[in-house]
Amino acid sequence: MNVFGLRKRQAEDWASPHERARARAVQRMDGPLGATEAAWLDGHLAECKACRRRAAEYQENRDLLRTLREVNPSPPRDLWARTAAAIEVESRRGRRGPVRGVPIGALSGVLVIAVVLGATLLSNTPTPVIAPEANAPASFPPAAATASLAPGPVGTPLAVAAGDVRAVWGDADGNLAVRNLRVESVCSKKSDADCPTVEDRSATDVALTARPQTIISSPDHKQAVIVSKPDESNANEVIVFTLPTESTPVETPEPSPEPPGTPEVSEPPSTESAAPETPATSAEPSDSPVPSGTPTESVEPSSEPASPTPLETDPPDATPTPEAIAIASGLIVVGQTEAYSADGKWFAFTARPADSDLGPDIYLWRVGTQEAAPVTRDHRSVFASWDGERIVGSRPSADGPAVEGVIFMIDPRTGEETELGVGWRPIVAPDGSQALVFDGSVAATDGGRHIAPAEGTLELRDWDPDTGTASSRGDAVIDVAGSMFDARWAENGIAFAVWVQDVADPSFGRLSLYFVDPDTGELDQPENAPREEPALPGFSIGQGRLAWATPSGQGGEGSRVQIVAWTKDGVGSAETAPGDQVVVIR
Amino acid sequence: MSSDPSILRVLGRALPARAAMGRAMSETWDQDEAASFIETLFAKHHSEIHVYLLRMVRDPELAADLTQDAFVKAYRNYDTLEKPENARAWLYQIAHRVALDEIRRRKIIRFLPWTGESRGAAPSAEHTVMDMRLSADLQRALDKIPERQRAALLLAELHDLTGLELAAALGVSHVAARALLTRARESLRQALAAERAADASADRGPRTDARVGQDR
Repeated sequence: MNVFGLRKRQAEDWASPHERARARAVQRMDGPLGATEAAWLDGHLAECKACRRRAAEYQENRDLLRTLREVNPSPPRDLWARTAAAIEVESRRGRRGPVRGVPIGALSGVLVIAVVLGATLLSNTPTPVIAPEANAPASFPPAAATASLAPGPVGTPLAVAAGDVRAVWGDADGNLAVRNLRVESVCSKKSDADCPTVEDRSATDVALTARPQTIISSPDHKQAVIVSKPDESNANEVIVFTLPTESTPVETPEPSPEPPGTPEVSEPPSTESAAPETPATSAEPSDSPVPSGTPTESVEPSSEPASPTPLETDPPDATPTPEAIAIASGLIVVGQTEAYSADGKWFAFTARPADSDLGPDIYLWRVGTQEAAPVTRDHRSVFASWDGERIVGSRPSADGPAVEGVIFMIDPRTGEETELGVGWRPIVAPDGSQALVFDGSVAATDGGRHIAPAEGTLELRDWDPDTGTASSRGDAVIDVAGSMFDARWAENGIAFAVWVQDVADPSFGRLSLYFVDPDTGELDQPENAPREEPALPGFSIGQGRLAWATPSGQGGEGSRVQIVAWTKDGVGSAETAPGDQVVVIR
Repeated sequence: MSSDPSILRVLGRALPARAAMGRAMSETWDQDEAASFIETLFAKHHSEIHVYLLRMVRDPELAADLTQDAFVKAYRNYDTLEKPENARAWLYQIAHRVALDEIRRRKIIRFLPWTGESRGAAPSAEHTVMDMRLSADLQRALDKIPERQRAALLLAELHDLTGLELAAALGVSHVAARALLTRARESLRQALAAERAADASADRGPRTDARVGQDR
């Protein structure tokens, strides 16, 4: 993460020319700027005394730092003797136990696994594909469907058995609708012109007075918690509302636990019609490994968003104005930490009062009750995740720009708290065996009101609920630097995604998808898996797909919902047409 | 478990992909070869690694222990070294990880002076006071910035690592390393400015004469 933003910044993006000049001046300390920026900076420095002073300050501090070069204390004379003895002990130990020393190394493991996983995921990726058109017959026999068809470089759609994606759209008049997006095929190349746009299966208008900022679905998809956009006093409302009943994505086949292995079906690039064809398998749950490649229904492209396909049952009692109750208000909801417990009985989030100087606490809502209440009282606690039915949280050990984080657990029934150890915001995997943990320092500033990671890396570690995470050993996943992050697991624990807020523009961040080999625990990012893709806060992961809203594009184009889905044969993506105020229900 | 996967992982990302798959996949490696290689590395680099660790933890005893640890870890993970020419960055990466682990485990940072015994001929009294104040300010400012930023600054300014070596040592991408350095420079600037402001207000106050002595 670049402190000045990874996006290439245009001149007009800077708050002021001085900000730009100071950023460039410090960047130039460690490498040349581009010719244009360098010329601009020199021009500005010639004019601006304050910026010139700042640039000189960076240089003086470097000179001061370099005076430390003169200080070169010698190591103790016996250092080699000690080290050699320790190596000798180490080598004897290595000889006794056959593989005990493990110098064959985790790295070799990584490579081997990468090869194996790569082979599993991408085995059918065509070696340099010849004549792409030949891959796109007008119809395809099932035999061809099970043979080597893959996300080719030309955007041959890859059929997937991903779960529905739901999102809330706003229109120009401020009306909101919940849309169900059925993802049936994805393409290997994003922004492939031939890749069909994702259409809604159904849409239901919802009457909500608050603008949603984040929407979290309950595990049974029957209700959702909305965190509203902040009002004038910066406070959010936390609202529970009943999701439109028709949106239960029950007819989606369960993805298999391996990077889901539903056999894929190739579909012709839809050149004449943008309508994705509907393989029979996606309408009926089926364990059959051989999908019928015969499309049964063809959905007409429709400008009416609210047109369920003929295959769907449309419950007559679907209510267009779902019930909504506010379970918390007057709070500033912090971060993107909100989550239901796996059994759907509890909902936890982090918030601080809008009308006082107090720092954050963990709030808990018992589903079915009227109000959420804080479960911590120290005003410096942040919710991390659920480990089964227990709340996992963390808090800074002290105030300061770089302090340690302490992990603890709370039993929601008794409120009893257990301290676990050092670390920050462990995101525990669904099976409780692993966790993503921020390993680094935490900044607790402004009297504890602002608590955020300072410097460090998100790591994948073994999770032991008795002791917290095991030591500092772990696989580095991503450097989150001093940014807010949101990391969540897919329900089967083989995939997770990490969103890291942009430092310069907190309205969006970057999203990456990772797979964890269920046997070895090794990390992988297969081809086409998103890596640091621009994304608005609040992604949805599970059922074989990852979905997020893209930041608004250039020229006033709205956000799109971008969906990445995977099968054992590969990873592909698809997106919707742009819309306003798009929030993915996660 | 005697290897630290994170070291290897980052190394794998930051340094070129391993060519020697065959060696990596074999179940054994030549321990004598490894030991003699580490001995050569030790002879060449132990001073700078020791100074780096000393600069990070500021405790001579501890720095010596950590140097020993770093070389033992290097021996253990010998097979992860892709090319001998990357050995220096690889050593720094291991040492960096060792230092961070130690700092996070103990939150040590003792207030030992950076300067002192190794100074040469006694300069003028005025000079010493100036130097000591400067160095004490710098020392406190460095203490206040996050440890990864501190490491980036020390490695770049005092240990002459190239951009790529720095990235490898820190276990991040080249771009991330440069961004970290940028943040570090800004943090140091702010921290130093704060130290100087504190000095200035102390100078105006009644404790003027006591300052230098207290800087330790």
